[in-house]
Amino acid sequence: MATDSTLVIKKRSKFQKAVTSLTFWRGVAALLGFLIIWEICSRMELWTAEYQAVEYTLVSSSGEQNSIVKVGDSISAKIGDYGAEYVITKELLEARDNNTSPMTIRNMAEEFTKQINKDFKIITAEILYKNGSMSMVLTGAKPSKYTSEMSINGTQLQGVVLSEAFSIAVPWIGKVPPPTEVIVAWKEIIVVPGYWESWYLSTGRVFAGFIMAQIIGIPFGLLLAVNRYFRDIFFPPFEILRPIPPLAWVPASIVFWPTTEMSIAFVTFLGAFFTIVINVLGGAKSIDVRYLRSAQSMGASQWDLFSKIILPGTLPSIFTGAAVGMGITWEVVLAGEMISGGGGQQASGGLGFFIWSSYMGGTVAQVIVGMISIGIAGYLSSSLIRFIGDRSMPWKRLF
Amino acid sequence: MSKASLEIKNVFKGFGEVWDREEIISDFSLTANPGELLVLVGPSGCGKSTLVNLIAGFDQPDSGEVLINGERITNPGHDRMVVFQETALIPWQTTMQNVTFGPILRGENKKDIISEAHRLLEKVGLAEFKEKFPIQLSGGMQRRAELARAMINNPEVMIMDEPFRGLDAMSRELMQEFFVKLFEEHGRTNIFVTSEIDEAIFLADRLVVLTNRPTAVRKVIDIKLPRPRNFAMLRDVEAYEYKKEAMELLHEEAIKSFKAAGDRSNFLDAVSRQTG
Repeated sequence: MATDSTLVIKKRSKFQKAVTSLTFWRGVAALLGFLIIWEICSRMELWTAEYQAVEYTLVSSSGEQNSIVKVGDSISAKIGDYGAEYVITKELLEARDNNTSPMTIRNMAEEFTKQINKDFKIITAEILYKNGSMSMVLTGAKPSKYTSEMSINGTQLQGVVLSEAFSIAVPWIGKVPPPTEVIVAWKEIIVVPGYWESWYLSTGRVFAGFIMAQIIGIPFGLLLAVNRYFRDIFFPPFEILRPIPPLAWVPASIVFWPTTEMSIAFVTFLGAFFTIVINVLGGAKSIDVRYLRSAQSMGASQWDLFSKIILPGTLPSIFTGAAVGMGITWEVVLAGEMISGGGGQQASGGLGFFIWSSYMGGTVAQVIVGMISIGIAGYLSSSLIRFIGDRSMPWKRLF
Repeated sequence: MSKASLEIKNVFKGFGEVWDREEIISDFSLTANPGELLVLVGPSGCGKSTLVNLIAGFDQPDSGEVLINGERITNPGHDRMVVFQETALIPWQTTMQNVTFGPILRGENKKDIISEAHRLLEKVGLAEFKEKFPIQLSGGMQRRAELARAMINNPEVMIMDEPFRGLDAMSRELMQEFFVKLFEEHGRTNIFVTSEIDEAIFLADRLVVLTNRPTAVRKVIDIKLPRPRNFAMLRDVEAYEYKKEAMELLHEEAIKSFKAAGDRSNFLDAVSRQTG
């Protein structure tokens, strides 16, 4: 080694490189930006108003229905300075008595709405006829500062305020708890052993199914690729089973396997298995015939061809299949846990069950904690696969 | 260094089922003398690669035979090395591993192999690149690595199937020069398939012009340019005459293939008019 060299290249660790690179900070900034937007959006109220919906009811004091309103009675409604008047017609009364034709009642309501809404665009007046009493409800946003009144033949009716205060949040995200709430929920749940047990259970199930799928899927795929008889026999049934979604297997496997654990593991296995086999088969079949031929002419035996050409040539596809399969396994495991109940205590029984029970319990923040937990778990597992892949295929990570 | 003769005798080869058979090679006979560089040129799609596969033993002729030193070829072997159109270096092996792949498979003495590989890599100018993967080498380097890989197997016949195709003009010329020097040193029997006339004349002892599909020998032209060759010779009148002759023959063959396609389209045209 030249010692007098003035150029000293400091070797930086991978972590140092990552932290000092612009890419890293761009990623961090994007994530923070996303969280901030989420926070703002879920807290923001697009529109707020003091609002009242008031119900006025016409009830016969004597209990005689026909005496409530008569033809020619005039009903008037007033909000602030705006009002409308309606005269009860014969048709309306008939409709009320027969209880068959709400059309006329609606017509009357529409009339009111039309007149009152000249200035209050979001008010609807509804006239309901129910069990011998006729009621009129003003719904929508009537600003509270306006008074409302309703009268029949000049006699004021007693109004009941149904609801007050009204706001509109950002659609969809307004219903989602903001990150701060999620973090609080996380802080609460992070000390509960059941939460960590869920992590442990789900990860265990994912890896059990995934590893089984690799162990069976890779040789199966390779056999399909290299042996024509094997392919002729096993490929058609494989192709029939493949389109069946793993979740469609859940009921059957619950019936078939003696324990919940086994049925979840089986469904997980299926999720990864088909993807892995298809990838291995495709990878092995797409190896360039020139490699095989040149190896053959240099004297390679069948075993040499398999171990030196086909197997390493399939490795990239094996890892692609593993990465895709890992994603599917997480999906399937969670769905399996949701359906089967996971079988655990509070916050236990796997992350899928954790989300489901949080949802049932109405703690939406916890649902999001569960979702993010899965995201992290999935990221960690695919990073692991990438890490192994990079190390087993040095010729792939040169550029 | 063994020099082999290669004989192709009345070879027929076709593909497809009986009712839909396409004859690729028809009554093909050719002899390559020991230590001769035989260049095959033909119109594109005439079945040159099929011929290469037969010589290499990847495929068997329907009738006729391919003989090497009088022995019939039945399967691939390391007495015939093929250098393929685009690189066939194994991507997951380093240059060194690629070069030593054959001999190590055959269980030859590892120490000898390594030193021989070093010598060959030095020769092709890749000594510094022996731990690189093919993807890290330039196109020209890949071809040189492949030449080294072929040579270490000490083949009796080298078969080059358009080996410099896809290289840029500069690297291509360098590779041609390099290859001709290599050949002139060793004098190994060589079948070189190409579609470039200049390349063919520059390299060849004899130039074999092939016919349009089904492939047969149209004419064998003796190239009497002196060895060692250099590019200046291509500007000689003699070289020009060779080129003119070969070009005319190839042009005729190309027209034939064009016509064949034309007839087919006329036929289709007639059919569609009749039914339509």
